[in-house]
Amino acid sequence: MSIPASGSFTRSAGLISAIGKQLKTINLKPLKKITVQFDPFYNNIKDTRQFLFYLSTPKILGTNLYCALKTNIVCDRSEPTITFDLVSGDKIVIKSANLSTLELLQQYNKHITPLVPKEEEAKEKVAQLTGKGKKGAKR
Amino acid sequence: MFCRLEVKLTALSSSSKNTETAGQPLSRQIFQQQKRFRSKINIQRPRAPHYERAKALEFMTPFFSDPKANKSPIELCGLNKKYEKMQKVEVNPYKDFLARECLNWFRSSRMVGFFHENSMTMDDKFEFAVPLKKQNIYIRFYSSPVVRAAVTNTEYEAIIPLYCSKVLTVFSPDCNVTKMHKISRKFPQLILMAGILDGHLLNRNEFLEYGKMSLTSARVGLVQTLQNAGGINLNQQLTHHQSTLVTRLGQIGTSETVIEESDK
Repeated sequence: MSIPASGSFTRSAGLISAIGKQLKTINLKPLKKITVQFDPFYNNIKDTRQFLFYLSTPKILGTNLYCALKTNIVCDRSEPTITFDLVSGDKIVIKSANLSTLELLQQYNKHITPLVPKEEEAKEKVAQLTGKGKKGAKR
Repeated sequence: MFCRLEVKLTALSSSSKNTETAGQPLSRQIFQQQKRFRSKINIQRPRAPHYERAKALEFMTPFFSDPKANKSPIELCGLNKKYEKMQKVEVNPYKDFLARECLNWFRSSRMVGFFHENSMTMDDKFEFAVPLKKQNIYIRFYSSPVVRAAVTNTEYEAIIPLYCSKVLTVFSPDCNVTKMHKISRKFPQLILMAGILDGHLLNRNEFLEYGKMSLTSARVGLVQTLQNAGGINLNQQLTHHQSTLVTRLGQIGTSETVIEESDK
């Protein structure tokens, strides 16, 4: 009687690696505006600010140049919220007080990344393939 | 000690007679072979050494005190030791130096601004620093542990939660909030969170509002509002009798002098 393989074959590469993995798939195409509202004196603000930092990197902002990243600083002891305004007109609000940076990124990839138009994805793939072919021809 | 040497002398007996007869010198070889006397060496349970030797051996054996003696099982637990290691704070003289410098900046500046720093190149930071320096405003980057070390048990302790993520701090001996805000608006990567003005920690809106106000204009405004709110009337009522007395006395004085002059 054989025993089926269970569990992971490799160890986890750590938190930073997991965040990096999530950041690779992030795409701002379905968004019109991102508003991050936080009180800087709130207890669990670290992860929201970290998430804001990751979103502000040029590689991620470059996925949609028409997406505005806005920050709203308040001082009313309210919990931090991240509002995603979609191109379709819908709004997604994440209350991020009790979520870690990795969880925030996972939630983004779960709810917003699947809304990226598929045609564009296909085009990108084609472009990548053709790009590779040219490189080969040069050699 | 345990074995004996046996030497076997063997001569080439078979060919000796022939060689002697031939008149040639005898060639004899010596073979040596070691042989054990009785049995194998007793390694596993050697016999006790001689009394005198045993005394010497006993005298020569080193002895060490037990490091685990007089310690409770809780103290000996490995996890506990790990926790203690984590609790230990590393003392770094350079960190202390930075902390002292940081506190000095806080103490010697009238205006301090705290910016949340998003992804930003060093070139951009430099471009931000140049116009600020022209206005006598200086930017500094301090990490969370340094600020914590600097500010704990001082009047600035409330700013520690701001340093949970990347923070750019701005110091100035003057109160140049409007100019600083004008320059920082060109850099959307920096987000003003809070500030300290004249030793008062203020939130973003209050910091900007208070920074806009100049003290003289505020005083003028206050005087005007007080006067508009019945200040002039109150003043007249309070000084009415005194002022009438003064005018009367003035009148009398002037009339007397006029009479005296006419008499002369």
